[in-house]
Amino acid sequence: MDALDGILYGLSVAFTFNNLLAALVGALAGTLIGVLPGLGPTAGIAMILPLSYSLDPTSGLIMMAGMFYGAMYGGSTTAILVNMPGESASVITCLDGYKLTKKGRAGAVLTVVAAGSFVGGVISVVGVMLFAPALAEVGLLFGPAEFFALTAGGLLLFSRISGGTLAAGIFPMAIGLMLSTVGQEAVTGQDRFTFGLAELTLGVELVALVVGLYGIAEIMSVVEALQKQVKPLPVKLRDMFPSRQEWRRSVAPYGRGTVLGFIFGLLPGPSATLASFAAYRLEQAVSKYKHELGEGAIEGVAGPETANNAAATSSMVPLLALGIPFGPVTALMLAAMMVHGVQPGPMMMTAHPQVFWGVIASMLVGNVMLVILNVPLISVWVSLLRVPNHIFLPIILMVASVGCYSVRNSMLDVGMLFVVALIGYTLRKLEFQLAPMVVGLVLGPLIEKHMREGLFMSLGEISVFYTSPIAIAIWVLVLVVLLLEPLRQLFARALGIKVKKIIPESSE
Amino acid sequence: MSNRTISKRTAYLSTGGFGLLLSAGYVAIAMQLPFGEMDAPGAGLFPVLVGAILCFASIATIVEGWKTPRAEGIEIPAGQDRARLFKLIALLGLYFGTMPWLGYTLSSCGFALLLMRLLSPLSWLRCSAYAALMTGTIYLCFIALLKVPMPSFALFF
Repeated sequence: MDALDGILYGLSVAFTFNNLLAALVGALAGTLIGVLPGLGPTAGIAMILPLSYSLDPTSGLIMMAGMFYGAMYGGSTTAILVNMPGESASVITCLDGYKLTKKGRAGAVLTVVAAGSFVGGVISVVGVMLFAPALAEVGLLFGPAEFFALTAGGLLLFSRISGGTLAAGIFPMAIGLMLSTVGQEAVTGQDRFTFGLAELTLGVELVALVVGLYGIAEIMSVVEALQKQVKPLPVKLRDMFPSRQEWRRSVAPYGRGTVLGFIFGLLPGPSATLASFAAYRLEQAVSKYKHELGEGAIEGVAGPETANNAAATSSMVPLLALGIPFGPVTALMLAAMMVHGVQPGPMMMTAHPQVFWGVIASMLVGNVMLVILNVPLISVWVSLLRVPNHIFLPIILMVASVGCYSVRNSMLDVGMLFVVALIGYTLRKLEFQLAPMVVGLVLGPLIEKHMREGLFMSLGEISVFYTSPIAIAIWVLVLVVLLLEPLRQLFARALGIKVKKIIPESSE
Repeated sequence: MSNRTISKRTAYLSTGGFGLLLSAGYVAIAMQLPFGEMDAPGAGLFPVLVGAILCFASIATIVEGWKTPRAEGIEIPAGQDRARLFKLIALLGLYFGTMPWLGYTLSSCGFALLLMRLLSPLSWLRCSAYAALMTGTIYLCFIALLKVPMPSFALFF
């Protein structure tokens, strides 16, 4: 099936009532999550994970994907209206977005952002359509040694690129890997680290971990720093339309943001966040109006928001083509696939074409829905921002406990939610990264599986993991990235050559 | 917002030390699992490797703590902010602790009431009304309509 046949098939899957509803619900829920404080897309998607188990795999994944790019739309709304990013990828939007709001251009900026997100999302979907099948073809050449290198190396890379120092990434990653070994081992059926508790035989529940780390821990930070809520100014419909000049100035940032975002989405790491920061830096370097950036330039909003939506879309490529998640959201989607019995990997395109092409096509549909709905719904989001925290936070916490308990009807999961929230809050205060823990929990069983398969097929020869050229190339890349920071410091000290920090301080 | 700082160096050294103890315990338990043969590894092989990674990560944390200047601090809440945070943690503990006995609906109503009192200057009466409304809505959506089986106290709640 070539790309055109595939997308036509995907559209026939996406245009069923159930899948259209799933895309709509996911996109709207994602936007709501992006707008509201205290919940990011990761925790929000974790909360609907149990709901997705009762849907068919295609609808469940379509809903989760919809929430992801919907949250990118929503996060920019609060960044622009009240100078508070709804999620980390919208942090940079605060700089120029809020300045434009104070100049009375809030409505126009929100429309520019909605259009940019649409452009970035749709063009990125075309890229996914062309790139994912090609990557899946390459993936068919991979054996267990290559997949071991990809999963283990990718996890190490992700932990390093997530931001901060080496320890800030790999310590939580190691905790995540450790948690992934709890439960009944897949091949031998041996119970590991269950301490006699029958409920732990099924392992650590992903929903409890993610909602605890990203949801409850975030709410603890919000309550700790409880401040007077900034109320957004009302946005009138007639002020929603950008001027001709604003449209003209947005075109080039749309193009640059799309390309940059698409590339970042293919790489391990917090792709949407990194893409938005990189897009802003690109605008600072090449834009004709760079002197206005930071003071309310439309380029400072159009470029980053286009980039983050493009990255959110293209981050599906490694997941769909190779079955490797390069972020916590795609890790959750991988977990959902495995629960539904959809084996992720290069064979998914042929074994489950309705899932593969259905998810890609639904991203096109979802982006169209978002751009049509979000412009008139902006006043709804604005009024939601006026609802006080003391109303929202109890509701979020009560719904979180429903979501967590309902997965396995287990109070142990609820208890784990509480303990993980405390750990997450503490780690965040100490500037550790949380995403590597989530990805470690999801990838741990896969890494073990590929290791076991490699040893089995090579009759116990460890050299299988370092004799394959593809595996060697992956490990060399991982080593280079891990050694980037020490090399940078060495250059600075020994040769007096200063190289800018490539890995940002933190992405959380 | 009132803040205090704690030494980042001490925090990282403590975290790394805790990690080392955790990895030692983890590996000790993993060593009791069967290792199998190299061409058919048992359940114990991967955990031992993970324990080694955790040990390395803990040492990296300790080294980073060692290299951190003594003056560098991490902000932690103090005063009213800290009191509010501890009250939230206590409320969450109470909420999750009472859920199996009081049931989801009653414990959630009580939790919402106390949390709103913590976060706002609203009166007990208003908080009770809002808590009842929120809990009722969630009960209707999730328990009555979607039939999510939550812990219950009596026949319906």
